[in-house]
This record gives sequence, C-alpha cells and structure tokens, in this order.
Amino acid sequence: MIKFLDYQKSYGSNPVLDIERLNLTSGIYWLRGENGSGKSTLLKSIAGIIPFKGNIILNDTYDIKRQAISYRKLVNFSEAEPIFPEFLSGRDLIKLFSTAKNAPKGQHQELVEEMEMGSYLHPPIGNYSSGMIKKLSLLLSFLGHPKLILLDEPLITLDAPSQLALNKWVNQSHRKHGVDFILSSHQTPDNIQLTKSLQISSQAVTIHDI
Amino acid sequence: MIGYVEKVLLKVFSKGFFKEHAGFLLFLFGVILSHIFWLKPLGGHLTHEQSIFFHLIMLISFASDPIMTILFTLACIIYSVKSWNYINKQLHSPSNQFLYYSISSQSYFTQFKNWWVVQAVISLPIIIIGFAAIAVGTSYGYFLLPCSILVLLIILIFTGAFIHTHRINAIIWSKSSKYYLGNLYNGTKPLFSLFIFHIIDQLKLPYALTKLISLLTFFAFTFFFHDLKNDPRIAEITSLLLASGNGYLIYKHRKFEEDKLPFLRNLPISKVKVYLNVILLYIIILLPELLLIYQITNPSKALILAICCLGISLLNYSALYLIKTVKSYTRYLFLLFFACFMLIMFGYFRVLLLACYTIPYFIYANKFYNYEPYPTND
Repeated sequence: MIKFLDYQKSYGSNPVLDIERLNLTSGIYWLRGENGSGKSTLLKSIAGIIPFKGNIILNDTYDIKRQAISYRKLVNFSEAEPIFPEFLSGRDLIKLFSTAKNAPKGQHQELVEEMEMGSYLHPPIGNYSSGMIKKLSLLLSFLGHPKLILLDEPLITLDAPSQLALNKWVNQSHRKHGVDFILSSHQTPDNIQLTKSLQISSQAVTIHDI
Repeated sequence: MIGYVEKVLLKVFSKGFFKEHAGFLLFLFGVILSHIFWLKPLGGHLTHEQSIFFHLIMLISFASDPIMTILFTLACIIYSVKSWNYINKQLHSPSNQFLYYSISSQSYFTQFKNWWVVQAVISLPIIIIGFAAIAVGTSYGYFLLPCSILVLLIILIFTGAFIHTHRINAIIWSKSSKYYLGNLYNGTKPLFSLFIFHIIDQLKLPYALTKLISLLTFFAFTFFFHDLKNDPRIAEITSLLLASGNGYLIYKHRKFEEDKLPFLRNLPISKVKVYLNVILLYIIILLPELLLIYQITNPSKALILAICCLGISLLNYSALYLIKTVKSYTRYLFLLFFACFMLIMFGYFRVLLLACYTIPYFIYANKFYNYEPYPTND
C-alpha cells in the first residue's frame, strides 16, 4: 500500500524520524508512540504537507515527489487540531474539497447526516466548537476517491455518537472500497477492525500485531 | 517598578504589536526622522536659526497649524484604534485565553493600571512625536494646540486601558462573524478569493491604509516631479513605490496561507494553478494601484509599468517562502527597494521586469511542497 524509501525527517538539526525501508501492505494501521515521538510529523509527511528527505510511494505507482497531483488525489488527511479560515462555512469547505478531490456529486450528504452536522454547515467556522471543527475535518478526509486516509488523533473532542459514526465509516470504507487507513491515537480504537499497529520509538517505525 | 503581570502583558501585547507592525513603523519613522535630520532647506542659504526652524517645521506645524493638528489627531486616533483592535484580536487567540481566568482576579484598579502601561508602551511612537511637537511648539510660543495634543494622548491611552480592562472582565464572545461573509457569494469560492474574504473579515483597516498610502505616494510623486514627467524613470519609480507599499498585505497573505490553508498542500491542485490563483488575487488587490499607474503615462507604457508592479509583488510573495520573520522581511523590503531603485536609475528597467517574472516562480516552484512551516506567532 505504501512504501518508505530512505525517509528522514528532522527539524533544524534535531532528527525526528529515520525510516530506511518500510513497506505497509493494505490494512487499517494504528499508529502509536509517546507525545512528541513524531506521529503527526509522519502523517503530515505522508499527506505531503511537510518536506522530508527520501521518498514515499503509494501502491508501487504514485511517487509523492514526482506524481504530486495523482498522489494527492488518493491520499486524504485529517489533522489532530484542524485549522480553517474562520469566515468560511462548513458548506464552503465541503465544496472546496469536493471540487479539488473530484468527489461524486452529493457524496458528502450521507456523511453529514451520519455525523449529525446538517444544522451547522451554514454558519462560519469561527462559531464552531472544537468538536464541530474536528467532525468537519474528518468528513473532508472521506471526500473523493481516496486509497489511503490518514487520521491524526481522530477520537479527540468527538462525542460518543460521532465516534460510532467514524468507526462505521472506517470499517465500511476499508471493507467495501479497499481504502487503507493509518490512524494515530493514544486510546485504543475499540470498534475499528485494526490490522496491525505501528510503533514509533527512537525515530524508527516498527510493525506489530494487534 | 514593573510587576510580573505587566511584564507578561508587555511581552504578549506590546512586543507583539511592534513585531507585527515593524515594517510600517520603520517606514513612517524613517520618513519623519529623515525629514527632520537630513532636510537641507534652500541649499544651505539660511542662517543657523532659520535652518533649525526649517528642520523642525513639521513638528512646529503639528503644534501651530490647526489643520496639521487635526491631521495629527486623526493619525493618532487611527493608530490607537489599530492597537485596540490588535489587543482585542490577541485576547481572542486561544493561546492568550488563560488571561481571562488569571489576571482578571486582580482588583479592577490594578488591572486598569497594568493595561494603562501596555497601552502607553504601544503608543510610544505617537507619544514621542506628540511630545516632540509639544516641546518644539511651546519653545516657539505656541501653547493652545500643544495642550490639545497632550489632552488627546492622555484620552487615547486611558480609553485604551479602559477598553482592555472591560474586555478581560467580560465573557469571551465568539471570535468572528458578526455577519456571515459567505452570504456575499453562495457558489464554490475559488482559491484566489479566499484571501479577499479574509481582507473583508479581518484586514479592512490595513487594506484601506495601504491604499491611502498608495494614493498619497501617487499624488506626492506627480506633484513634486511634475517638471520631470517626461523622464520615464519617474513613472517606473512610482510603480516601484506603489508595489512596495503593498508589502504588508503580501506578508499577511503568506501568513494566511500558512496559518489557515496548510491543507492546500494535500489537495491535488497543480503548483501552476495555485500560482495563477496568486497572480489573479494580486491583480485584484493591486487594482487601485494599477489604475493609478494608468494616470501617469500613456496606455502602452502603463501596461508595462502595471506588469512590473505586479511582478514586484510576486517577488515579495516568493521571498516569503525563504524569509520567515517580520524583521528579516522588513530588511528584505528595504534592500529590494534599494536594488530596484538602482536598476531603474541606471536604466535597467527591462532587467528588473525580467527578474520579477523569473525569480519568483523559480523560488515558488522549488519551495511550494518543500516549505518548512516555522513555529512562530508572527
């Protein structure tokens, strides 16, 4: 599903992650690690938001550096603490992401209903609570035709019904559409059918059975 | 003796204010100080006393001419309102919300005193100019208008302290959207339009001030260099000045991109398309300046000058992929202005034009996916 080749990431002179070779096969991965171990950095690198040395290749075909656009069509991301322009509404962002990710018309409607977001999509994001912004960010990460979705701390600030909806989306997307996931969380994502866990320790990433 | 709370407030608000507005303040004081110290009235054919009088004429006029006093009053009010807005904005920043449940437990008087110090420090630039005008004005026998300047400064500082004290004791209200901007346009908002909405939402005053400065620059140049209007370099320098005046807005645009649109790098939109959106955005932002350029010279020459004005703005935009602090950006703006000025003066305008459209894209294309966000509050 995704392959790391001589991946290195440092901030200034501080090395954060060093992955010489890593090949993740299709599945739902639970990314674990202590605070500051580099979980968000790894996810942001895979999302193509921050630069790094080396390379990341999706499905043996899409090189993040050489096929930047094709790669980004297939890799979606939801940040741990998402920030969006306060004057835009949820509806505006759904339109923007749907257009950019080439989402089928009306794809968002079912997601909006399941997350019970219909009542607050029209006001500007400046009026949203952190939980509402988080739900919106999660919804945006499911738009289009992704092959890999990266969820950074998807469970924080989510209420119980939304957590159930998210679990359903993740399991269904993987089962029905073959979408792979890497999700970071300090809590065990109980109702998600995890394949493996990824442990970040001493700048290295290792694969473990659940 | 400054207390611990005041120190924290000064660090958060006063230092932050000066940091954010360093470019504008440096430009303003650069103009005033160079006027006072390096002005050479009438080529030196004056007595020592007359020469001092003309050096100080701007400060004297603040304290003697009612129209200049009104203009100075307006400038002080705009400056103060800007600083109040800045503090208000910072109070709503998540990182400063601890203030609502910490310093608000002090007595109202202590809080007022702390905010008074913060407001006074932020107002130092207008206090210095005001007191200089008062000192010079009274020494030349003017008393009424200097007194009014003093009263004005006291009122502005006390009003600021009162507003901030009141705000910190009020419940935190919703940060934005007294009205919903989205209602202005219901369709999909194109990428270039996002910063325009941001200007309408949060940067109305800086935008208006930038355009006012452009207008004043335009009139000053056409007035003072009227007899040299056939020299093409005058129009070229005017276009350089008009572009440079937008440096602050361009900084805000880059900051907006990094703070609010980091997800852009995860969207499957080509770099070229994003860049074309930036060009379109700058054409809209610079529209008043581009129209002014058409007043200086004939349409074909004006078109080249307008392209140059846009190109310099793109150069500033791309420079912000390399420069990450306000301080460095301010220095860069001065250096760039000097370099462009020299190129124009020595007749290398075409070289400047070429540089404005090759260097920015080269930097942007290399840095768009390789930009390392800088952990800063600037």
